[in-house]
Amino acid sequence: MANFDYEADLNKFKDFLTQYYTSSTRRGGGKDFKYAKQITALANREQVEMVVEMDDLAMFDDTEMLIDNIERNAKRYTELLSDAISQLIPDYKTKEAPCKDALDVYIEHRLTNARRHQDEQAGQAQPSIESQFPSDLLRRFEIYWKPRTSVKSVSIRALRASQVGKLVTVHGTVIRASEVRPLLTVATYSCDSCSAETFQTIAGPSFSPQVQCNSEFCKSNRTGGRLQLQTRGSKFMRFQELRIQEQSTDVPAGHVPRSLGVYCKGETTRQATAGDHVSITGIFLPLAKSTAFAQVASGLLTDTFLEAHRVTPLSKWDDDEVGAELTEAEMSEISESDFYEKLAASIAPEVYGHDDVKKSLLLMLVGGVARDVGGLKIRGTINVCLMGDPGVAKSQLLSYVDRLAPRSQMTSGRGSTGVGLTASVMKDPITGLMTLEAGALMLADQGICCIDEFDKMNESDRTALHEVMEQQTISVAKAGILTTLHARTSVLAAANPAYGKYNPNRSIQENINLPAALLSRFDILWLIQDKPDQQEDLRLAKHITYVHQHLHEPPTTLKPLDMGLMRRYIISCRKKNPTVPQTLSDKLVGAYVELRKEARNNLKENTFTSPRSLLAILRLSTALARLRMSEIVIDDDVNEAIRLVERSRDSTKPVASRTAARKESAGDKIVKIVRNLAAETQDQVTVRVADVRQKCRVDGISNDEIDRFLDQYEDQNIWQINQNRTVLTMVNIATN
Amino acid sequence: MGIDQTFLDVIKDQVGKDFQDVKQSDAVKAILNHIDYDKFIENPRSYIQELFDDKGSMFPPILTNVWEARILQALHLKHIEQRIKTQPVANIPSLNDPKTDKVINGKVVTFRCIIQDCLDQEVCPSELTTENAVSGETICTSTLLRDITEKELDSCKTVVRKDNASERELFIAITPPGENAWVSETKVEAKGFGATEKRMKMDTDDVVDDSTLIPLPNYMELFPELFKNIGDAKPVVCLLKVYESTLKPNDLVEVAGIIEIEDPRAGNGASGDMSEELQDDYPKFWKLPKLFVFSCLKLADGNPQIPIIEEKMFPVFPMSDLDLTGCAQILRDILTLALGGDRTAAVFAMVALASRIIRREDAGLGPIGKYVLNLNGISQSSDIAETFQRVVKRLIPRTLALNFTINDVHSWNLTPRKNVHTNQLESALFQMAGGTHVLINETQLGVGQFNDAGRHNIAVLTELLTTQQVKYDYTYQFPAIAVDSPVIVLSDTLSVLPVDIRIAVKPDAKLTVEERNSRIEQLMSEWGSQLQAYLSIIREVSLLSHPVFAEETLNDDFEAFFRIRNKEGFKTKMSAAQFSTFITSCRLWGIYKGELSISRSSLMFWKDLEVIKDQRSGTTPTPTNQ
Repeated sequence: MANFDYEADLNKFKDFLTQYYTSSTRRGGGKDFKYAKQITALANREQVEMVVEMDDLAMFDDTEMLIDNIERNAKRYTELLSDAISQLIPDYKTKEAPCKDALDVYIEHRLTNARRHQDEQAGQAQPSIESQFPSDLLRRFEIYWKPRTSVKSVSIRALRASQVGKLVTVHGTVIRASEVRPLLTVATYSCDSCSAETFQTIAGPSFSPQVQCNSEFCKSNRTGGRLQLQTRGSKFMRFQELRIQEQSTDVPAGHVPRSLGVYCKGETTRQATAGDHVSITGIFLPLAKSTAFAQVASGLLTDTFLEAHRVTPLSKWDDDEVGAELTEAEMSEISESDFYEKLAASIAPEVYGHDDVKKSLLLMLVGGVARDVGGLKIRGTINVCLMGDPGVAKSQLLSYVDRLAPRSQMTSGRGSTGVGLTASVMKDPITGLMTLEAGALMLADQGICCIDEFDKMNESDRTALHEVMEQQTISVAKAGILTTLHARTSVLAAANPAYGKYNPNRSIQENINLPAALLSRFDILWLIQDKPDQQEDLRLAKHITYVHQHLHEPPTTLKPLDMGLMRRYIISCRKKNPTVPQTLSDKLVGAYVELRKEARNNLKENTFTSPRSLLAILRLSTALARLRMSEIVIDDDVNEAIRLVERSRDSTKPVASRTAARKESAGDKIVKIVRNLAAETQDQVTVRVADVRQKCRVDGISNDEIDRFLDQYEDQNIWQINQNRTVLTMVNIATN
Repeated sequence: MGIDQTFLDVIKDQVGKDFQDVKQSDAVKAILNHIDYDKFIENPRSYIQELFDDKGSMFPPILTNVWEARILQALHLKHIEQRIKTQPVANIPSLNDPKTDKVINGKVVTFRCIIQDCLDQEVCPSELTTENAVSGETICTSTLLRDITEKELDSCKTVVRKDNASERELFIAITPPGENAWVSETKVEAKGFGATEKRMKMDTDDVVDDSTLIPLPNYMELFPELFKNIGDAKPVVCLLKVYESTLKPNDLVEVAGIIEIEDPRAGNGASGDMSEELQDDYPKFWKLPKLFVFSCLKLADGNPQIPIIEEKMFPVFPMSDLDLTGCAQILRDILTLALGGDRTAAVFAMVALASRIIRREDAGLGPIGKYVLNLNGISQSSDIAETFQRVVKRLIPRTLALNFTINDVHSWNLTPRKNVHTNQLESALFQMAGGTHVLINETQLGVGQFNDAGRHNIAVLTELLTTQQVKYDYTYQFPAIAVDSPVIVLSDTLSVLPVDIRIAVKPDAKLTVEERNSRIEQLMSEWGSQLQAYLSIIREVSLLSHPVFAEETLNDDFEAFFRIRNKEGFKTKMSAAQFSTFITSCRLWGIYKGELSISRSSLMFWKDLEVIKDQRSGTTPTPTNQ
């Protein structure tokens, strides 16, 4: 049990405030009295808030117990610290502070009056002047605590009854931020018959105004004076109510997110708006019970809230929970020789195969390096699009990335709220003011936005995506609001073919019904097809029967890396900013020229090669270098990047390969004929070329083609033809 | 169809026999004997205070919240002991009973409900020490299972011990959505079938003073946003206050607790002063009855006849009353009649009725155990769709019937949504407890175009059908909430929805509609209650049992079946997901036949059915060379 000796603690505070110093960074050293300076500023009304850092307090002598007490009983100790500062202020005042507002004038006036009154009645025992007024009225400063850096923020779910009254740090997403309104903290009334002033200190969010004057004069004369609220003499504070909701990573499966009310006062207001990820340090308090008892009876008033002391917007990438450095053991677990394959395979381990797709997703998570050359911004984010038939685990990949990425938003092309993907201007139902509401792309700023059903987006979102995916901004020009917002988001899109199933005879644009301009903004486009294959069928059948019987995946040689570990590794990777050495630029240029040439030769082809492709390769290369935790891009990175781009192109080339297959159908026929003829012979491998020619001509294959394929397959070592070209011997064909 | 002995054994293994099977911790055992449950039921609050005053003699000095936890556990054990005894329990009224229209404050009631929403947790001192402002007398009272009232604090100076607070989770609980009439009519306390009914109702005869009886308001009118699919049940909503709970949304439980409800006849009183601010956060919630829960019980399939304790079923009727073999046959007969005399389609329907999700994370196959059945070929004019739905509703505890026409799709409200301004989760059709059957009637679907709302609803429905999850709308995040709802789609042509298995219904014109209906009625009246219990057990076994192949070689047979099926010659390929559904069919059919492992005969049976299915759909395999 903590020992509360308030008197001693008050003195300790005074010692700390006056004696704590840091070595000055200025030349010549010297002492920098951090808090004493601030008290001077407070006294001179040049500063309003004072943030007391627990870390500083910890540096001071013999304060362990004090810190413990503060964290346990924060509300009381805030009061105590305020008292300490109030007592110090008169000594630190270096100049007469100018009256800043009506309240200053008022206080000044009252104090002078009171002093005069005291002088008149000198000799009589009088309470001190200040004690005639509520201390809250006279104080013109605000105290906030900054928690120790070792204190980790917890999720809303983790707040328990035992934490009531304590200083806690929680994190969450702001879902509602009220307008900043004035909150009456000290009400001053004056009596309409005796002019006496009455003060009422208000602790909670609501209060019942006093009506009857209680002054000596009114009491003795029974005049029953009525009290009038003096707005000028009352003290108001800025007040804002936030409601924060648990982040998706903190919500256990099957549960719904919890929320918590946060009261922000004074300087802590306007620190966050709806949609922000924040970490809030504050005092966890039960809702004041002084208000109407109906609420107690209703059982809901034992509700709790957080009185904010510090509101820090979080970028989800450097969330302190995930930002912990990797230990050496963890590093060695990751940095084995095949770490790239291992990391990629750990993405959605339940999805079999698709290694290259997973690799590109891994690179997307790591991201390339953004460049800003003299105002020319080149994005570093990698956009990936997965197309494919229904039921090829696209959504599984998406949802895994959503879970893995430290900051991400998963949405459907048809957003289920009115906000949509980008941002919309909404009318606040309470205040009637126009407000900007963030859509998924904005919320995923510096993260990944997974968009399922990409093809089913509405037109306005699709238009906005053009800007997001290249310029990384969202421009809003609606209802008199003109603004440009950041959306440094990687887009991971999944699209279904327009006609239910991918039709290889149509181009990509026709298949997914998206404009080329949008498609070209994807660095990598994968077409995942459900292709029948006997071997694959067997594997699948084995897998399914196994899962049905054992209710878990078959044991594999691959042990997927823990998600938390991967997340931390990815965060460490993102801190690197690798560059491309001059020697490699030629290679890159060469590769790009090659791609362009290929595109020119295949006019009918359905992929695009634009300067964006070169940037895509660059981004992938830098991402690969980041993955190696290196500062320099090497040859292998570029090779791998080019390989991935080519593989992804190949995946979208069913038309090309089908056309080739159709051309070769003459070849197929020849092979078939040869095989059939061979089957009739004794040794099952030797046939006469003349017979082949004859059968082929019957099938309508021209002599040229026959010769061409005979040669071609001889080259491929499918068969051998003797020098006279009369006898053909099959080499490499299974006879059945 | 013979039931094999091992199956009976396994069912019996899943069925607890005696209350002694329930594990008890030593600390609680010690106090169990001290607790007089009847006395508690009679006057819960004063009995708790009595225990509290006496706590020194029962326990070494412990913190009050520890004491609370032990008392709660003991009360819970006492309650379930009474509940599963085949003797009728003390007269505890159930809020689900349509006849319970009045309650008495401070009495114990039971409520079969699903958790609709989780509110913030509440913190309260475990004990309240008050000092009378006038006499200076201090009184120490327990706050277990109650709220501190205004009256107590009125004339007192309160002294609250600091580090002795307990937290209670607050939940909004509603009657299970889509509950069919027979569930609340089941005589929970009765011994066996057909025993005399003992009504679960506040026995008004016992109460002399009528003023203590408080009528329950019409919750349907007060909270229309909470009851989107009320079914035949009585709409009730309660604010649960639960100590130490692991409850999560959509859990179906039977809770027992002390009820506290504001008397509307007492006039506006204090409740009228509700500040606007608070009303904004918790709209109208102060009108909710509060239930201070001491016992939370799972029910097999939501059937109040079969409570589950520690993964074991404790039916309130003797198992020997159930004729397992007979039930399976009669069930097939009834479904055959409902499907116009099609015995094959009835098999598919039986399997669909038994299916539950047994595993979720998988390799792109969809959840294991998912069964979305399309019974097609049911013409718009036939009575089959209506009869079939009626029969299913009388067999299954909870159903959600959706009419799939363009206009209906436009008007659906499927996903629950958190209202940021009121901080309330607004319910929707797809907020349902596990095991709720979704019946989609597509026979009336006409030609037309969907609007935005319609397209959104189709997407949500498709997600339910393919992944068995529903994304709730929390504005900034969309948590995917798992559902476990087998779906049966009735349609004229092939269903437009992504289903797992399709079978064309071929009605048999031998019997007229009237004949079929009267036969169904006859069977239902004779077997109805047995079938309900039987199906609940089958569904629970399907959830709890662990399916394996009866023989090692079956592995190869199944694999061979899949490969041959995918060789050339078949018009349609069998996808991985379809194969998965095929194995599920074999497994569930096995359970009906009394097998707990997948047998060769099941495989053969379903291979034949595959052929019939293909013949009916016109995708008969052409003979191959192989």
